[in-house]
Amino acid sequence: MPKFLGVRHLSPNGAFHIVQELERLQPKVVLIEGPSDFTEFMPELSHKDIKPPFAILAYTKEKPIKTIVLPMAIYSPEYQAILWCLEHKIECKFIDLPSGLFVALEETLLQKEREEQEVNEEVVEEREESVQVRSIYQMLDEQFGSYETFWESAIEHSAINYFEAVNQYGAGLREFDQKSQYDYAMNYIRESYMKKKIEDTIASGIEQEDVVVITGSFHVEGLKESGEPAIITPMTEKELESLPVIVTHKTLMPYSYFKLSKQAGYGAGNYAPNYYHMLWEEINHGRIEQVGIEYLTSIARAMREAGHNASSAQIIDAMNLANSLATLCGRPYPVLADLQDASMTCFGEGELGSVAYAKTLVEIGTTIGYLPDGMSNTSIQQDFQNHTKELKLDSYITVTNNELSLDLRENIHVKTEKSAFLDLNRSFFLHRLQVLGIHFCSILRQNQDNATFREKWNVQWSTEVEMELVESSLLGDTIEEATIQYMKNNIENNPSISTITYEILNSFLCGLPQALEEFIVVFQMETIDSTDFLGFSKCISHLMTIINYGSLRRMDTDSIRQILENLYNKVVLMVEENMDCDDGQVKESMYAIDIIDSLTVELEEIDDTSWLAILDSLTDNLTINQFLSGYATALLVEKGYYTPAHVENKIIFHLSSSMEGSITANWLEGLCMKNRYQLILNLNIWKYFDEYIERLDWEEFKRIVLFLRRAFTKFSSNEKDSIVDNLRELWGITIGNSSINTEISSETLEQLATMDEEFDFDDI
Amino acid sequence: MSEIQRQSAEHLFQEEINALIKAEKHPIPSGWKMSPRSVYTYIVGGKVGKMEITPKYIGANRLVEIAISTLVTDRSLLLIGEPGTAKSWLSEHLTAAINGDSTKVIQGTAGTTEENIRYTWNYALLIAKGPSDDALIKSPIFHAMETGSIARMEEISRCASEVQDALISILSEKRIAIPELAKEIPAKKGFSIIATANTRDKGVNDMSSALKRRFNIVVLPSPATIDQEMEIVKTRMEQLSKSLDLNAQLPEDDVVEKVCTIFKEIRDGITLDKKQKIKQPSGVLSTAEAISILANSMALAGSFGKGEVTSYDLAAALQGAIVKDESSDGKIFLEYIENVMKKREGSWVELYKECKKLNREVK
Repeated sequence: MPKFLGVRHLSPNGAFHIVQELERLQPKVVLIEGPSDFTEFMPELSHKDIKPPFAILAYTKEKPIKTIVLPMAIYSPEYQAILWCLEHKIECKFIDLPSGLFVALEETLLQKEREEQEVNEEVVEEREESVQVRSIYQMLDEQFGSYETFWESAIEHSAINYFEAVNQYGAGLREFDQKSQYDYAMNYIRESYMKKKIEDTIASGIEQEDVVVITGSFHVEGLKESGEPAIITPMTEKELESLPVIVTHKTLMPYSYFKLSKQAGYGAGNYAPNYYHMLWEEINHGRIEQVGIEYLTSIARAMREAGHNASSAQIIDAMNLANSLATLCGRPYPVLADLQDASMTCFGEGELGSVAYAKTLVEIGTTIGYLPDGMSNTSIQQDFQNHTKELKLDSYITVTNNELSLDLRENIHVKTEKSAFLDLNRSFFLHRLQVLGIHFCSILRQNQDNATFREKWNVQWSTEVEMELVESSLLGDTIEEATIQYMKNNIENNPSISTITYEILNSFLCGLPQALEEFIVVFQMETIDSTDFLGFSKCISHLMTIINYGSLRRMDTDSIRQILENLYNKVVLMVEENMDCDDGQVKESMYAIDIIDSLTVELEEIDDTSWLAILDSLTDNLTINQFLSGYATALLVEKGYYTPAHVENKIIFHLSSSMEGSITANWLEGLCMKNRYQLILNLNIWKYFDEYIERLDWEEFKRIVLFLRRAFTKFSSNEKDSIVDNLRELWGITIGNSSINTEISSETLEQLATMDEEFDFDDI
Repeated sequence: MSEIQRQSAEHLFQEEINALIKAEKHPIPSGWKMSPRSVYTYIVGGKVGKMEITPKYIGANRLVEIAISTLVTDRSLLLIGEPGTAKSWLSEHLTAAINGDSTKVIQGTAGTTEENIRYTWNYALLIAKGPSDDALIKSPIFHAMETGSIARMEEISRCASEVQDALISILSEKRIAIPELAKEIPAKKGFSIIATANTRDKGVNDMSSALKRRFNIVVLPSPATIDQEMEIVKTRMEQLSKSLDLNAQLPEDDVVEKVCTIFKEIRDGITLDKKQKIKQPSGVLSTAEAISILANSMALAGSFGKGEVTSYDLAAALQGAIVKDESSDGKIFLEYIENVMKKREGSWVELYKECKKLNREVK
């Protein structure tokens, strides 16, 4: 019988022992669990410049896109086994279902399961019951706090009998496994296929004893069993042919510890990759007990860097606590959970807050893998390289940060059209990368709002860019395709007006006219029934950005203008009913008014008479928030639609004694948002104010003085001085007459004193 | 029935402690009466031979492990938490299990002086004979150092800072100097201190970082789930009614559930189904408070009613617990009654009526 070595994927101790065991057994062939079509990548893995973690990715091009990722870190037993084989020139193969079969089968089985559930409700009930039966993971969680803790203490820390422990665990898992019928079927087919592969190898003339099979511990029992008759039989060629297949594409890709910590599914994840890396290093040096000290010291250093206090004495205390926690729980060495709790207790004063940052840094880490050029090559990576060459951006592919400034206007000093619009095309390209979330570039905000022809970018290359590119290959073969697909997915997932507008703007910035047209159609469909006034006003503001570019980006904006006109007609009718809002929302409504107003200014095809009529009606409307009424008046003054006499009339109306004081003040605040200079120049207005305040009795005045104060806060100190001058003139006090203070009678002083008691001016 | 109103933990659970000591299989740290594992079993419950050990602290078992492990090392333990999260309760039981003696306590108050922490003198003797061992009155901490056991310091953040700082030298040097006798007493192995502090008192007398550094700090949370809280309340109610002769039946599960629900919802400021926000009153609604209002309503029922906790008794007790002195609490509770309680069905209807009636009377 071949030698079966069960491992846990991503297990430092397993990686260490697998090498030892291979040394001891000296096999002629090593078979490893993993999609068999991935074997073609194995020879490349010995390249001296490869830096793990990396992953082998298989993906389908037809939608819906399916993927399999097989991530490997330096402490993956599989990776170490492959390296050993390459070094000793031993034949090595993956023996699990090929990726195309794997994804197709998964899909078929899932589909069947769904159908079954729909047809047969009883099955659902039964399943719910079986879910309530505690899984082995739950039992381990209850017993050990978490099954990761169990793993670490029982398997990662055991110096001897690694494989025995793992195999026992795997057998236990099989026995208690209560997963669905689907999982059972999947495992059966996979194991049956692996058995076939093992048989094939032996049939090719290799002695059974010279074959080593490395699989996840779960499969060891399944592959070993050969009862009469065997439960799992090796797959026949006929059976193999009957399985569904999808075409997959494969590539190597760099991976990061951060992604590894989030990864689940095939190959399983690893919640603390950097800690496991430490464990791997220490196991190799034969001093596993050191890992706790390394962890705690790293935590303390990271905390110090973040500005927290963490002394060496605290490291010692924490180590002591971790050790005694381990002893209390009967473990030979502290596990990560012990170290975490010890650092929380000793460094964080019992709380996670200050330790959290250091914890993430030390447990997950920032390690990113690296693959030499050309090793991972998806068509999208090729596309990226072509584009950077064509757009003369290849000099920017460095790890240092470069600033790139673009002038989007046509360069009339060059001959070819291509170079005339080089910067514009660069802008399109960079915008596309930004939409895809590829961290190659980020746009810098401009100081001048209207200089639309200039763009500044920060450009910086990192291994992460490569990783993100490979991921984007799931969306399309070129960057353009992927960008469009990304935006479409986004709209599909969240078909709100704001998302669609956002993507319309994006497709404009990315220079994708077809997508733009498509999204406009979607936009029109979605807006037919909507009555979201504020949402519309935000849309208008986004779409106006496009209009502001004009023909600069060489894209047709007619359809955008058409939409804006439609939107305008829709929104204008909604204005009045949406102006009755509370004070919290008033700023947003004011913003909306501004946007609509700027739309009437910018788009010459819009006839603004209806807008002016609406504004005019707002100024007299007492049912709406009076701030907005005041603001509408101010806007009409600014547009020259109201003469000073108009304003005076409005002021007289709003200052009339039948008005509630706070409403008047609110209106005034709105009025004072604009044209303050004009207000100051009109002495009549101040006469009305003066009369109004005179008319108030003391109680009323006390109540509205706060509102009045607020209304005038927007005035600068110069403007306030001018107001004082106006009042002096009204009251007949000539400028330079300094007696204004001495004229205050003792009575007034007393009044002021009582005011001081009642008013806490600090709070205003 | 014993004459003593409140028995110490080691008396109440003498049998359990004895059983644990008898069945001991693991190594015992010096100064301890049992191994850390047995202490753990004593606190979180379990089985020793045929004897069932009742759980004393329910909920965060991992925190209990951290607390015990701290005491195994030479560090001291500081338990922090909201009022009523069983800080003192846990510290009492830890010392009861570890030393069989939970009585070496210093209560931290604004009036605690340095002498309370170190030592003081019998002044009559001091004047008559001068400084001598006879005239020395030792503090509980002094005693603990001499015997190699654990002293408790309750509400440490209520003490003035200079009093707190007297602990620094004791905790770092592990010895106490008596200059008057030209002596220095070293602490025996096993000496430690369990201090408790209240998060609501934060800032009253904030602990210096020098002192904080000498403690391992464990933060005790409010019970995470309603089930956990109910279990705590039920366990305590059984123990209490035995020792207090309340002459009333233990409240039904349904009653306990209602009290715990109301408390948890008001404490978290959100209903259990997370659908409605609730205003929070000024006071703290801890699990300890829930236990006391149930005991309260049992006493009401036992003394003035039919010996069975009715909605009327419960409403009265709730009113007293939730509405503390301020009038705003009344409004908040009324809001809760109207917005949350009213919409619930079953036995809530009756409770709603009683609460409403009472809230109106009080107003």
